[in-house]
Order: sequence, then structure tokens, then C-alpha cells
Amino acid sequence: MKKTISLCVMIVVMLSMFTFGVYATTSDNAGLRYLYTSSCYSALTINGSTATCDSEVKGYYGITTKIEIKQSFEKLLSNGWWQRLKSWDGTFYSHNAPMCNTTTVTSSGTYHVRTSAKVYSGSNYESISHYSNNVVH
Amino acid sequence: MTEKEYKQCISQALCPEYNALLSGFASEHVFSPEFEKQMNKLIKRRNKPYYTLVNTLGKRVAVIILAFVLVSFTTVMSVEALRKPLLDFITNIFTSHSQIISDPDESKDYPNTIQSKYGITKGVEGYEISYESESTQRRSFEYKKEERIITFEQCTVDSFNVYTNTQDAQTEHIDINGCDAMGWFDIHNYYHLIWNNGEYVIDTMSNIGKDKLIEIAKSVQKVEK
Repeated sequence: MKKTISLCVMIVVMLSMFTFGVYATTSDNAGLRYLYTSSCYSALTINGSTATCDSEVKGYYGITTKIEIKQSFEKLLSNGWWQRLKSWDGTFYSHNAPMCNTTTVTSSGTYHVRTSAKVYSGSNYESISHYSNNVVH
Repeated sequence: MTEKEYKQCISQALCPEYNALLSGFASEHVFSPEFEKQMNKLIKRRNKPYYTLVNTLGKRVAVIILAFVLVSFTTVMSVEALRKPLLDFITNIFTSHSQIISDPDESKDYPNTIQSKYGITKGVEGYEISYESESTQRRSFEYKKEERIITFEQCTVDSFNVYTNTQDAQTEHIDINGCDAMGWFDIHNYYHLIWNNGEYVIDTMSNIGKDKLIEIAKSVQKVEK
């Protein structure tokens, strides 16, 4: 009887392990639901001393009514934190929100672009955030 | 007669009778082979070094649960999302969306700006371009006909890094003119197709259905330099 109970408990535990294996979790953007957002793109290029920050947030036609987008040009500090050097904001009463800005890079280091947005459907909204690949200057 | 003498007399009278009783019950008993086997098994188990950890049902259950928790924390419950390589792309899967990053062939030389323009050449007749956006790294268009939407994006391979809606989606491999594309339906029933055509990453999305989008994707070609 005890052996049977042990075996049953072991089978249940093993089955639950396989169930958990289907989903992956991460600490980034936990809890967000991409209900109004179809994609978010960020890119950074540095040519000489000119950095070009490119962002685009897209929603769905007929669902997404407004996108408030913020683009930040950030530098990696020695303590592991990112310092915002410059930022730009924009509001688009549409389901597409492109943003492209340039700035001057004054020192060497590692940089990236952070794109954050509030994507609205009527009065409801979801917050999203995305980072470009890091660029070493 | 003193008390001591009395006790001696009682002892001398009763002890032989008691001894005779005991010897009457004593007999040579032989245990069955099964019993001996079980007893030896129990003795062996008792001598195992971990016996004290599993000698009760409660302890066994606790050990199983602990083993499960340890395995979970080293695999599926790690902080890093599970990375799923898909040929030219790396997909980091989150609970509500996925991050898709180019994982290009390092032996190839990809252009780092848009030098050749690609576009849809069939399937958009009657559609108007309702949105367009161009930069050195990316070209983005939206075609619209009533409620039908087709989006087309061309992006340099190095800069391709997007979060895209894959919540509850099952991705699949689709061949687009010999290129391995990743396709899936999102929660609003838009079909997405992303592929590396050897020069750029092409990203399309539409609510016109999977088969029609695949036909449109196969018509994508260089339109001008």
C-alpha cells in the first residue's frame, strides 16, 4: 500500500515536470500581454560620431488607437547600469509609430536604444519595452 | 522458620516444576525460505547508508519533492528564457511574446544598410499603401484594402531584433523560395512570416489568411537598387 502511494506520488511529480517544460518564463516584461501590440523594433547604428536610433511600434488596425512612444539612447556604465543620454517622445493616433533620431556620440563605450511605449485600445493600454542590440563604439 | 529459610524452601519446591514447564514448550522452529528472504532483505535495507532518509512514507515523499524542486530550478525555472534556435534566428520565448533576433551565418557578408530594395510584386492589386516608413536599416509598408491588411518589412540582418506577438502561438517552418521562414498565427488571427533571404530579413503579416500570405511572400523580390 505504501509502495503504491509512493509510486503514484512519483508519477504525478514526473508528469508535472513535463507540463512545466512547455512554458518558458523570464523576468523581463513579466505579466505583459501583447493584446494591442503586434511588434516592437529597436536598432542602433553608429557611424563615426553619429548615432542613429531607430524604433517602431506596431499595433493592429481597428484595435490599436494610440501609441505613446519614447526612445532613449543609453550608455552602459562601469557599475552595470545604463545611463540615459538622450530621449525623444512621440504620440501617434494610429496603430503604427515609427521614430528615427540621431545624436552625437562623444565617448567610446557600449550603447543601445531603449524603446518603450504605451499602446492604447480606447482607454485601455499596455506598456511595452524593448532594447536594441548593444553597439560598442 | 525464618523468612530466608522460607524463601529457600519455596524456591526448591517450585523451580523444578517451572523448568519442566518451559522445556515442554521449547521446540526447534524452522522459518520458511520466504520469511528468511524477507528478513534478509529488511536487514540489508536497514544497513544502507540512506535508510534513515527514506524509512517512512512521509520521508520518501519529501525526498521526491525535493528532487523535483532541485531539477526544476536548474532547468525550466531558470531566469533565462528558453532559447530556441531556428536556423537563421534565435527566438527567446516569453509568456506573452517572443524576441526574435537574427543569428546570421558569420561566413556571409550582409549589407549593414538597405542597399537593395525588396517588395511584394503580386497579390496587392487594389490595395493602397496606408503606411510607410524608411530608415537606413529598415523599410516598412502597410497595404490596406477595406479591412484587409498586409504589412511588409525589410530589415538589415544585423539590426533585426524585434518583440513580436506570439502568445499561445504554434510556430511552423514554411519554405519561401528556398528560404526557411518561421510562420505563426497571433491572438488576433494575423499570420506572420519571417525569413532571411540571404541579404535581408523580410517580415510580413496579414489577416487575409495563411495561404494567401504565403503566395504573397513568394512574390517578394528585388524591386530597385
